[in-house]
Amino acid sequence: MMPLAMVSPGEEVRLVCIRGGRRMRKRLADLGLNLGMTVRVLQREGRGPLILAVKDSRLAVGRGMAHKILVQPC
Amino acid sequence: MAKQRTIALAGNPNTGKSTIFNALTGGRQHVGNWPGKTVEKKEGTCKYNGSEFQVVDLPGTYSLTAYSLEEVIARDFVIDERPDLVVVVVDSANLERNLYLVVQIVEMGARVVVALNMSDIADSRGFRIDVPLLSQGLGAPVIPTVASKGQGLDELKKAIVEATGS
Repeated sequence: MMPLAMVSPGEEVRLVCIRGGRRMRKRLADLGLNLGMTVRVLQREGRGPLILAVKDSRLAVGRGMAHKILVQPC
Repeated sequence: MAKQRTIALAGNPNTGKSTIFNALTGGRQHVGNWPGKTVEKKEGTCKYNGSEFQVVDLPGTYSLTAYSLEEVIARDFVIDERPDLVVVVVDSANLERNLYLVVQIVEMGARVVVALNMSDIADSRGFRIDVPLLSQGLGAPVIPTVASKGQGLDELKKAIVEATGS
């Protein structure tokens, strides 16, 4: 298990744990990110947000949030 | 002339709201293929069969629990200004996430027409969407469109006219 923020571009991972409060969980649900789903990191540059590929669309997630989302390689 | 009706275009970021706005109003709103292109609301008018509408293009939002300033703009408009109709533009290739917002807007009691935009992309990905069933489930008309190619826009205008009852 590792933070999403550590995943290299091109890798595909499964979301296994969200270490955040109610607000953050709500935000992730709004974005359509839920536990158990698979995402691919498209871009991770410098300190900026990560760009993810989720079911045929792109989504940007802030670095801070990405540190609180734990994932497993799949 | 009857009172001018207001319709709002809402939807997730990068689903083609501005493309539909331009097609309806003949405007030249800037369109770009990335999320967050529209950061303020833009207005225009649309004429169809003698009816005239005020069309408002809202910034994309993932939910009504607004998170960023653009989302607050979109939410406040839908909630406070009470447009006669909300056209929710959804990305057909990403229905699951998009329907979350649609349901939130329907639950608020707004009158809704759903534009299943980018339906060509959904087709090419092999998705088959049961439009009548979706429409029945949501209690709102659902119109497949490909705004970038101008498909389904007449049907959309017709549905807008019928839904606003003018």
